[in-house]
Amino acid sequence: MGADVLHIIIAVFLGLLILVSALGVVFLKNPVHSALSLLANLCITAIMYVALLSAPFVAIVQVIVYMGAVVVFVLFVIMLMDIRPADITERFLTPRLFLSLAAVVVFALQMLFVVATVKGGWIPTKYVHAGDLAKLLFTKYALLFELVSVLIFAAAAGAVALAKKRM
Amino acid sequence: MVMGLIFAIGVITFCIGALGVLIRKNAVVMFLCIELMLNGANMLFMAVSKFKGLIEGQVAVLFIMAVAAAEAAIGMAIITAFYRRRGGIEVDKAELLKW
Amino acid sequence: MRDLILAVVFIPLIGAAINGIFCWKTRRKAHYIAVPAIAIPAVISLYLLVKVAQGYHFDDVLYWWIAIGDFRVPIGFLLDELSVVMLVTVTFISTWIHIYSIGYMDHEPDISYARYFTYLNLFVFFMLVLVMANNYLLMFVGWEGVGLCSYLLIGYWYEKMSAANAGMKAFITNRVGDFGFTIALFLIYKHLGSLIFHDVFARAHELSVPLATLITLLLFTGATGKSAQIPLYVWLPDAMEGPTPVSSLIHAATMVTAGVYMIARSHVLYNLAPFTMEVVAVVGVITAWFAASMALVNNDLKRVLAFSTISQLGYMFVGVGVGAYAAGIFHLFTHAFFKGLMFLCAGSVMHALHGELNMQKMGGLLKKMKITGITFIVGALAISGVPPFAGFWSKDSILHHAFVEGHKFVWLVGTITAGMTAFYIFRLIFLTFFGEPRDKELYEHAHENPPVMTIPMIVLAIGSAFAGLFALAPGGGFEGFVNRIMHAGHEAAVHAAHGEGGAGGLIVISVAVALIGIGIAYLMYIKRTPDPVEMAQRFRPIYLVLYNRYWVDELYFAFFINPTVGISRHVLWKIVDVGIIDGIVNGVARLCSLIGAGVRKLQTGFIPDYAWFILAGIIVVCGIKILF
Repeated sequence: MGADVLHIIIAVFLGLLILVSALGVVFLKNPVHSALSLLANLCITAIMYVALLSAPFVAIVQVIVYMGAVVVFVLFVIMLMDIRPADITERFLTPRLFLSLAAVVVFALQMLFVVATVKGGWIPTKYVHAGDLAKLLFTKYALLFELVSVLIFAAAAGAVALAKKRM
Repeated sequence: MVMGLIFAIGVITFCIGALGVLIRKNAVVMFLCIELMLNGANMLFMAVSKFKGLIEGQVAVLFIMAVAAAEAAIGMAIITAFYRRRGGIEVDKAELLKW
Repeated sequence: MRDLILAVVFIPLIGAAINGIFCWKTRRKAHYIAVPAIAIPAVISLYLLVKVAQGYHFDDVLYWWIAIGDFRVPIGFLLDELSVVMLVTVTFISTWIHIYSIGYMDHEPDISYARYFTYLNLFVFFMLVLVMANNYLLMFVGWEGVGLCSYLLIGYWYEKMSAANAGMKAFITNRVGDFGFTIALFLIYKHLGSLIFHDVFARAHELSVPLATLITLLLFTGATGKSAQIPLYVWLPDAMEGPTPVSSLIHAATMVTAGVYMIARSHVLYNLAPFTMEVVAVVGVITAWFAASMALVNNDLKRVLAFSTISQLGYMFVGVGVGAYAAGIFHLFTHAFFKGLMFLCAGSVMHALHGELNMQKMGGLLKKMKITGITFIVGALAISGVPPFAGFWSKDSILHHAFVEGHKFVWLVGTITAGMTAFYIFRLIFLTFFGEPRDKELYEHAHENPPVMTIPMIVLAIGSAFAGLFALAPGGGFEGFVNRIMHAGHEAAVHAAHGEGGAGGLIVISVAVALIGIGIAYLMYIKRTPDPVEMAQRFRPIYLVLYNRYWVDELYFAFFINPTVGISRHVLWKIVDVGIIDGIVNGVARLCSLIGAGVRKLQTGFIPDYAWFILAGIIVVCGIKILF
């Protein structure tokens, strides 16, 4: 019982941090700040994976791939574009915001309604290690795995083609 | 209870990401919001994986991450090319499709 | 055997397909494919003839073409005495006319040349389907197919307005007849439950006499269209717009005889309907006389032959109308030779004179064109009914049967017409080949044609001279051969009458009439006493009536075509089409463009808007899913 309460407290605490950082991504004007906020969001998510969802391997991959590669990559691009704070002219308080907010809230309520009806129990901590995942990944999902590698390769080639000076 | 909380966090993260896509004009931020949406979806996958005792959910998350990495490469390339052409990354500069 | 029969029918189709699809490749060499595609079936059909003569019959279903509930129609072929005769006639004449065409179509552009042979092969294919079909519907397919090819070939020089119009006229006139034909098929199916000849004839006796009369009259309507009888003959003279070998093959030797064949094939039904027989015989003889009278004064080489064709077809209908089916088919057979021949000769003259058709400008051509002239004279003797040439045997047989069967009126008109035939055909010969050249320049340029054209003429001339002698073949001759499948009740009576003494007298009369016709032509056009011009002046009203072909075309224009065109133009086009149909079509288009003008505002080109629509769509779908 005590463990449950502890879990709930952790969940609420991490959830709040996640939501705050997510809002930061959306509402911070400077893209660099947004990217840093996303970094925080991903970091907290990784913590939640370890703390609540007993998935240390995915958490590590999240840190390495998402935070270490993707977001840093995005930051590089932002730096490359050399955007000065003075250039940023975006305004949030527009009719578009309220319309979009309404749509998103409706959607959120729908989705919450859906997840509220999910049945299932709380399975006590049982860590999923890299080996367990590897077994699945290299047997049942081997083909998919290879296809994803092809996809990444193609994406790399595409990125090179797109970013070349002469288009 | 914990399960419901995590589901809610995932859903709301996803929706905040969607909101960002809808209201931001900066292409890079839109891209970040898409990552946010993916992260929200990932959380749901992880949660279901945990509560249903299925490792498949984590496999799916790994694939999503891989695809997101590929997407980042392409997306950033497009944004760079776009920036070079139009001198900015605001999506309202892309209006060739306008009626 | 089955394979041979298939080969006969389908080799021409393969030829047509090759030339049709690869015309840009075959071009000048099209005849290397087209001629063998007919010659091989011709050889095979001779073999089949021998087989049939030995008693072989074929009637089989190749596969079921249509099978809907009880309605079953096969692709099936029937080979018996009647169809094998047609088969041999069609393939044999076609082969020679194909060869002749090589020379005649020499001046055509490459692609047109291949197109011509494609149509010609396709025509032979459909004609063979018509002849070999073992059911009415497949016969109808061939019937329509030859009509199509006829249309295509009449309008072969489609840049020429008159040719295009003539093609349309032929097609539309045939539609009128086909209307009757199809209704007859519906009635046959409704009352006999099958369209296969075998079943239809086996159960034909179940038909009541009025019903049989109706069906046979409707079938005859189809025949009048295809075989150019009154009142639907008007298309045939105009069909001369096509290349001359086509006139020869389609509009003289083969296609136009399809009606006669069809009636002979349906003889079981016709025997049930004496009234229809009477109608057929009378229409036939009136057509014969009517067309011959128009041929008397016409100056167009090919049109005279066209009227002559109509007239001879009239004889064939007399033959089948008086119950002498075999005699009708026999005349069909001999006519194919001599009329095919005469058209080829006319084509040869035309070719030599650069397309000139007016006989008044010719004359004395025999000196320049010996082969053409002599073969033409052989054909003329054959059609005039001078023994021992082919026409004598068959025409005389028809008139003899008419007389013996008691159709004295038919016999009388037929005999008079025979005299007219002899007159106009020798008028043609004398004007064209004898006397002084009336147009020096044309005469100087005239020349005999190359062997590729003359040899077919010679072959057909031999046929015209001697094909009639089949009448004397053992076993009842030609008619006896065909009669093996004609179980006509009163046919026996005819044969009985044959032995009676009257026959000799009839022969003498018809030969005398023919000679008188030739004699008058000689006096008028060689001796010029009485002078034809003077005659025309003296009998001016009659001359004008004949020269203007009784104003039948004008009559049809006034009564059918102009009202139709008028209604089409002023009601159907201006009101129905422009007002209603176009109104609906344009209205729909305008509505779409209005909606589009409104909806396209959604295409803002602003990416978040598109995302918004996606989200809205998802919300709606999820909402529906959650609610229901």
